[in-house]
Amino acid sequence: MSRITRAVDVAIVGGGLVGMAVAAGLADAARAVGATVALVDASAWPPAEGGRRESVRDQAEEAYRPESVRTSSITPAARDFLNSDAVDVWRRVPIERRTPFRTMKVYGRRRHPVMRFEGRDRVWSDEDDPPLGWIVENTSLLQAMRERLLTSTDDERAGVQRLVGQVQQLDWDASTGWPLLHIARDASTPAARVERVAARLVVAADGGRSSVRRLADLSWYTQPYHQEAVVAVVHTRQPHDTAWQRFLSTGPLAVLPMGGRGQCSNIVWSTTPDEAHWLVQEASEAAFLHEVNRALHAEDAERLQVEAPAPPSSDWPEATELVAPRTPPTRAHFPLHLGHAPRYYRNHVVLVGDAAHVVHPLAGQGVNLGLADAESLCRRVTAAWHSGRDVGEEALLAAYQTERLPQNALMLASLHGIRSWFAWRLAEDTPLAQAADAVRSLGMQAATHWTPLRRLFVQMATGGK
Amino acid sequence: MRVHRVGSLTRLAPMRRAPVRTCNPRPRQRRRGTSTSPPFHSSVDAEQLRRFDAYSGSWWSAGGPASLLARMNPCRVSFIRRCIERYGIRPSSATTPLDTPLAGVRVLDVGCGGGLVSEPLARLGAQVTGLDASAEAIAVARARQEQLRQLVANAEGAEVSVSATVRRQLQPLQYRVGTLESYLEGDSMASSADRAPAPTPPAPVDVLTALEIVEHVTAPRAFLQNAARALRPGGLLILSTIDRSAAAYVGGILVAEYVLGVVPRGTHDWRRFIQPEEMCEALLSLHCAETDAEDASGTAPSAPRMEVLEMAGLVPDWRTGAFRLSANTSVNYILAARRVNDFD
Repeated sequence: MSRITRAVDVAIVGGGLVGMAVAAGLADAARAVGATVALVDASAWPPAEGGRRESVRDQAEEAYRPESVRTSSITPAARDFLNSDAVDVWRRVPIERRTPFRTMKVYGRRRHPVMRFEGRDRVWSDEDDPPLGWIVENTSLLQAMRERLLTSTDDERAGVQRLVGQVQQLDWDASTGWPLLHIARDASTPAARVERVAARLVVAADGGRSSVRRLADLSWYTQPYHQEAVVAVVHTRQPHDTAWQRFLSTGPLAVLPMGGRGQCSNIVWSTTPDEAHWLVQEASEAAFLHEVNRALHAEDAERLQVEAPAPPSSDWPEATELVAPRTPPTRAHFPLHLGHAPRYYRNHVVLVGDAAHVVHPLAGQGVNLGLADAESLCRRVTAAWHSGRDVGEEALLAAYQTERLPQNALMLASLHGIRSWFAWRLAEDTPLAQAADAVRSLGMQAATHWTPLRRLFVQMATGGK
Repeated sequence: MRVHRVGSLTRLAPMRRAPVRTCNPRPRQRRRGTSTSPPFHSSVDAEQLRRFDAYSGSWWSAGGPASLLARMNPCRVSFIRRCIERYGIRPSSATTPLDTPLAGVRVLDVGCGGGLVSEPLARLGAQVTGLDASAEAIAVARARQEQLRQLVANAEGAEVSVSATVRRQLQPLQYRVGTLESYLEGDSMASSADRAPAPTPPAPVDVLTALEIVEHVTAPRAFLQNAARALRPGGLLILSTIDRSAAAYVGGILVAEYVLGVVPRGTHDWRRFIQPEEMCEALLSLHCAETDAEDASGTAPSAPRMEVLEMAGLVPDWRTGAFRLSANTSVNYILAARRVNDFD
């Protein structure tokens, strides 16, 4: 048996949004009971820049500039978790980096009907003018979480310990059954510099291609969508607080408000790999904007047109200018796939976030499912600590899986269904295609005008109870 | 005297006063021929002991005979922790904000088995001594500690950071083979196997837990007297056991042992179960029971006075399989009693 260098209660692998949320959610509880949490992050944190935030504020008054092209849509349920006393991250996100949207408009191949969902549909909420969600910049949210953890790690005795490196190896202590993580910067690190961490519980939050999941021998079901998502930030002709989404047969295109007041918009466009490649690598800025506007405004987006049609009315978004974020690139694309783990735990290793499930980004649910996982796990681990329970206990992990797996699987299946519903494409102008259009249109009308169904959609999309 | 009872207070109220005044404790257990047991007679039933020795391999296995106890554990430990906090058992010297919930509390866990409760209490910071008559159970509990020590020990000396919950599970937690009686006398039943026999009568403890034990001892009354003697004045006695009710017969024996099979058959004898009222009556009249001792040794010290503080039922939650505290004490129940200060 190899010698260990650390014995901790919980080891979180992955310094992404979900892993950091778990760490933040456990930091105070760990301190209260004298437990230790290790956070294994592949990248070192940039040094905290005290003066920077002020300068960001000043600049925000003049011109808003996004940090990067990557954003997350945060549902009210996830916001409540981030805003809770234990996690305490939400207030650290600068206000111009989290933009509320109160309306969501969704339409298909034809410009009408437009499905319209309002924050008012959240009838169970006690807020006055409840938003449907927030568009939050990933970099800012991550920075807020780092700030939160830095304030809580001043105490050496207990709390969150940060380790920089990657998991090279995972084995289990033969007699106690504790997992042992071998953490090094890379494979060539000398053995003396390898951290060997024994933990009661290992939380795998290292994303869709989780190495911990592979090392723990947890199975993974995956299926590529043969689509890529293109992301960019644009200026629109007018500020807006609406999340727009058009379902084209090649994939959905979303225009999401950014910059606090919606003066900028985040474009998230899922499309074929070829088109994605062209949009990001080859198209000029003008061609990109033209293509975005055509995809948004054309009466029938499937037909090729040279001219971009004018928007039907002034409240439709119209991209006018590409915005360069602080961190390049200005445009990016990445492949999409679906993935799910049939079970979330084994031998004191538990999966959260994308390590457990990867969904289509069309409703912006990926991070929210991950944060819901984090909430459930933090709640259970905190309760276990307060009753002296071993946090690696199988019963605890089983209860976590029982809570989260059905909800994640339901969302995964729903998103898959919605995507297929709009991608349903038949030969042009045949009676069957017209019938398909009619059915789609009818479904959309029902989702807009039949209140119980609309509320159900909103409830699912906002993570409401 | 404060009695916080979750269930009906009315059933308990009359008994609260009566035994103290009349000093006529004749609880029903005595009819079972236990009146001859002297105060330091072993209350352990040899047949039960053999049974628990046989289970010892599976104390910590997930589906084993003790898995039901493991499911009860979080709410039992929460109850103990809550009582310790509510009745000011924690020494005031240890109440710095960063201290652990049970820092500095001395606990004697009687009938600790494989350490199911001793370990969580130790992780919360208590100084726990686990006591069990079954040498095999103690061996299991010690082996777990030894395994953990091995895991951490080979890093000792080098720069290593060990979580406080691990250190607490190794350091102040001790296991000893013996009965409550032998513990009070200050010796150990298995002196050859036991490395550290206690010298003189041990220091009184802040909290004594006897969880799911009373239904297995031959002389519950003598057991309670000894438990009270082991406590410091003001110390807490936490007892959990099973009511002698029809529901307990169906739920605790028929369903648990024969239908679901989660408890090995023959573990429990319904006739040995003790009703909550009887338990309270016995506790409240402990100090009147000097007559019990006289026939064995004329100079036996009188048992301390006890007061019952609170009681709650433990009921399974069918959705999650875990147990939770409830007002229903008709099957499993847990109660807290306090040794009254001598000068009161």
